[in-house]
Amino acid sequence: MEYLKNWWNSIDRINIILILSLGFTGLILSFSMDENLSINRHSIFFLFSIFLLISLSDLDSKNIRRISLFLFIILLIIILLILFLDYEVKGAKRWFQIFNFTLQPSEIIKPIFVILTAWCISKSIEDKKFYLPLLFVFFFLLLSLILMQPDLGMTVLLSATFFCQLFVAGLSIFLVIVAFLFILGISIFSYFTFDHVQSRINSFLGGLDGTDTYQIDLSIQAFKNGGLLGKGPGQGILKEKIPDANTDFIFAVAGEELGFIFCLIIIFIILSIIIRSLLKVLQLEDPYKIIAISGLICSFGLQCLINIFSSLGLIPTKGMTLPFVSYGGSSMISIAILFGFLLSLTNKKNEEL
Amino acid sequence: MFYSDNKKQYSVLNRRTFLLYLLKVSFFGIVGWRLYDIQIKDSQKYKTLSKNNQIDVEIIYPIRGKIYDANNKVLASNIKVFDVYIIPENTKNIDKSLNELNKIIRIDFIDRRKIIELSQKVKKFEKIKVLENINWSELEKIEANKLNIEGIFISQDYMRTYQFNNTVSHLIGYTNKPNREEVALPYIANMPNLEIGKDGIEKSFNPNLIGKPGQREIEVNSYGRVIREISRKDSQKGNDIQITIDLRIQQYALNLLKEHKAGSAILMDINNGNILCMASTPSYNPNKIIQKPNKEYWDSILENELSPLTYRCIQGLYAPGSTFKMVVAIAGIVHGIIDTNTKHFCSGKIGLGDRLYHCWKNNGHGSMNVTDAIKESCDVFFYEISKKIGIDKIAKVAEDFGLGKIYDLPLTNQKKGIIPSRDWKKKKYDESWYPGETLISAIGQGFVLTNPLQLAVMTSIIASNGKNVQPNIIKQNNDIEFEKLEKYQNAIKIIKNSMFKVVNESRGTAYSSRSESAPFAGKTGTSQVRRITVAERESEDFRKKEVEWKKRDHALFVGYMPVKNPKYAVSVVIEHGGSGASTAAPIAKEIFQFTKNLES
Repeated sequence: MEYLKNWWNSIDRINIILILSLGFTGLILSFSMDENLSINRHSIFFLFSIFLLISLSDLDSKNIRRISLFLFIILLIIILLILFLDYEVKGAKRWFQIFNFTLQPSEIIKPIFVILTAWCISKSIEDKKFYLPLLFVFFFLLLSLILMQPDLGMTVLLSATFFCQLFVAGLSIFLVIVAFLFILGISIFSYFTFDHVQSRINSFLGGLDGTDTYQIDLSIQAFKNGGLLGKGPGQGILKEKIPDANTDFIFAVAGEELGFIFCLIIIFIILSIIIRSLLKVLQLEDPYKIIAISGLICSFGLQCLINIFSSLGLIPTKGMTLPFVSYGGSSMISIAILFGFLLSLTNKKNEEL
Repeated sequence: MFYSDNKKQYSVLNRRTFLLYLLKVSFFGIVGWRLYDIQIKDSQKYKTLSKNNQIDVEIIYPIRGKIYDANNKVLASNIKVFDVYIIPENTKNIDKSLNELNKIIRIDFIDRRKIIELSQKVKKFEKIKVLENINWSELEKIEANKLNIEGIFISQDYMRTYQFNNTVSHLIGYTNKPNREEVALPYIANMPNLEIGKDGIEKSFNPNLIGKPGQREIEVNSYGRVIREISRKDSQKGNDIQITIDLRIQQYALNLLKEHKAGSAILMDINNGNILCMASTPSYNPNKIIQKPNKEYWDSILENELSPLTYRCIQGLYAPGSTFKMVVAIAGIVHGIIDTNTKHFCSGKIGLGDRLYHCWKNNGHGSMNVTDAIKESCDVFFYEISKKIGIDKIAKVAEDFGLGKIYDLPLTNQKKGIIPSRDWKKKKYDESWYPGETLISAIGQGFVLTNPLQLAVMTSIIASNGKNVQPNIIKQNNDIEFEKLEKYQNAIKIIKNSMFKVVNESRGTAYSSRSESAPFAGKTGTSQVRRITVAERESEDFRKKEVEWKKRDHALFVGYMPVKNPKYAVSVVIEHGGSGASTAAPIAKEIFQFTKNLES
């Protein structure tokens, strides 16, 4: 009890309330979707995530770096193993199975890599020359492994976050442009290399090769059906028509069943988390913390944007979850780690150190 | 690359962070605007008539494209068929309605009971299918009596139909419901009930033939009944496809083949590679596969030991027998081992190591040059020259003449066959090559295996004086010009002269099949399916003996017509047909004469 009290006193209380409320919207949606199996699982994942989040948020910066480095190496090995053991799900080598949970290590490695990036950059700001080249080696290694899976959405997210961190650290404008061109290059490369990426983009551009925009049409239709207040929990039809409705199109399900206002609430919570973190960052002086928090928030915000944009038909579907709201264990654990790190970095206890 | 000055670094950090966050917040602004746009502003139009109603999206299926032959004869198209439904809420007595309907078209007693049972379970306005795929005349009768039959509903559908039943079935294939993997294909996504091509052209050209689906937005009430249509985008018909097959020749050839249990006949236009006829027997009737119930027919196909589903033209592999001798002779001439004057003496057999290699003519042919050896199909001559050429050089020439290859054709499951070489044997069996195997290969036996289409292509390349002819099955609008293999010019000239003599000079193996109306050249082939024992060989007349069908030799013939400036190449293979001269050559003659008649 004493422990929890101390924890509550030192934590960024506003942010944890915001984070928990985002989690609750996900819980509400999972009940609204009225599928017994996914409720059970979603609730279990949710409770586990909260536990993970609280334990991580009490660690100090040093331990976080150590845990990150340790996990990074382990996950990298697992990703390599999956690639070479030919374990395929849905045409990609992304997942690996323990008991009857499938885990996606590339999802979990995301917040961890953000911390390592911030660490290396802050070290190089202190004029330690060795760290930056090392960081780039790790970055390209990780990126090529994920491209081999192949997972384009994750590649885009990882590299965008990485360059945001470099940008915050003061990368020269020239290099910012180079980085932008690099991302553009990767996107064009994957369009011509991977069939599933090509078919998704073609279908977005309007049936270039006989495919149609069925999923996106249905998603937009769901928003229209929902209107201001929604059809009511469990009344939507979208989830019966799109197989990935509870992950990729969860926002459309929210729009259909719970309406415009509920969607605005979700956006409001996400925005509040982002702005709250900004206010915190502006008070900080430690480059490591600034770069780390910006990176974490960037990764979180970008993932939300990609998911919401694709369900609103603004970009092609990417197969990316809405953090803390979508169903899915890996995504939930990943986001718990991300928020755990975030809360630890803004923990008052750690400020005195 | 970063700032060394701490203060400057700090201000950059803050400024950049702020910029980044600003960008992100503005992106969420876009989300808010878009959300308002579709969910509040746009949804006015979609305001349902009642709160409980839903807007639903329904797919409109496209009509499949047609397939034509070279002369615009329809080979595959869609016929309108009609499904008869009954709607329980529209009839006072469903039993009476079914009785009336039964007077026109018999409905099975068990089916009737099922329909009545179903009508008690489903919603009253739900349509229940009573009859499927009824034709025009049946429909007319029903329409005439419609007033007596309460609650009936007729809906129109399309069914794939093949006008010429089994004539081009292997080549065109058939359609059926997609299986689990196929449902995921991008061009049929969201149309799980679409019939798609399962074999042949129908399968390879699915993306072209299928067309694009349309869709309509409908408002349905809480029971699922359609209230109104909000918007509609019609489907687009699939593209038509024209193939190079001339149906008349195909039908004619198939009739000739039907006298035998199994075999194939191919006719190619050597100038552009167009395949005019590619018939294989036995074949199947795709219409019987499409029309349900088809289980009985399907089982009968699968149980047939001649496997009617096999497309023998590209999937049947046979030892080419003496038709392979042209390749060996060309290799000999090109590598300077023989010329027109080189002679070998055939005594009926030669020895190599401790084995004897026999000629088909037990008494021997006497002294032979290359032209005579092809004309009379002397085996010993080819044993002798192959020893000097070597298997690897023969294999190289065989590949230049299109053997051992899979062609770029929209047909699945082409069988590649085998053109043996030292490397090939090493890889396949991890054994070295024996000299005796060269001898056997030189007469197209042993390891050598080819499919009938490869033999037709080989003949086309010879007939066109060495143009690298590639087979083609889809009608092209532009002319094709094939590259010429210059180094074989001289050799081909000698070979063509020999092939002329095979058919048109006495003692040629196909002399009895010569044609006055359509003079042609060619080469017979008889390929053994088992080894002949010494005892049988000594019994003198083993070839004339009536042997069991399965043990009989395959009969082959390849040829081209006209003799001067050839236009067509043919390849005929009759499984266990006896000898090429007696069985295959007459069919080739008939096909050539028929084709010639079509021209005039």
